[in-house]
Amino acid sequence: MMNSTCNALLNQVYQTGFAVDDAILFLDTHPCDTAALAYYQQVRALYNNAVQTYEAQCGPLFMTDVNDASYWIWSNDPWPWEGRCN
Amino acid sequence: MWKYEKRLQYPVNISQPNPKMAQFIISQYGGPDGEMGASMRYLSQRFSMPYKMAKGTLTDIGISVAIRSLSAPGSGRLVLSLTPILIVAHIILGGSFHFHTENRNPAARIQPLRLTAILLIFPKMLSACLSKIKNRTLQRFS
Repeated sequence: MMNSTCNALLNQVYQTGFAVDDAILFLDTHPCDTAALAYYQQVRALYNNAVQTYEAQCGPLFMTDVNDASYWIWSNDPWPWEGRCN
Repeated sequence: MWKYEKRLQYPVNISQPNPKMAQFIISQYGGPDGEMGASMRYLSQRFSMPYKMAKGTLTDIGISVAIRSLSAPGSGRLVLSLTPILIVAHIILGGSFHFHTENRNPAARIQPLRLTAILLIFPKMLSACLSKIKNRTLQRFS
């Protein structure tokens, strides 16, 4: 299930997601910083794009993005952090 | 990773702020035998759960219990976010809504056993039980 394409796509989500979290923490204490706001917009777009690409090819990252009408795929094994001891 | 939405799980309007009650309820969230502790137990037990159905349930209940705790106090006034079905699940799985900061809840340690039994052996009984307790809970909180 977790093939190398999915791993690469998930890496994109990790990286852009980290940038978004970082921007959010900064903006919590600097709400008027327009440069930071612009950075937030920029990394948020990258993050949304990365999530969309991953979900289209590898399955849902959010419980609310499960689209299968016949089976609840969410609790399927493996979870992304499982089976990596190799 | 956890995300949160800027809303309560269930809309609640406090007509009469009650600081004493707020203190009690907040101790139930973050206190020594509070919701955060219960959440951590669900989540740590999740990692040794062999059944994927139960593993998913432990994960989802674990984060629900924690997130409900986080969305509680709002700007000096008591705001509650309780989904009746989650309360029901929590009570069935060994949690408690009593103010028992002195007596620890022994049921908290046998959650996986109960959960497995309920999920795998008594699904029919579970759904009947859920709707019954849900009604009772709705009455109590309305």
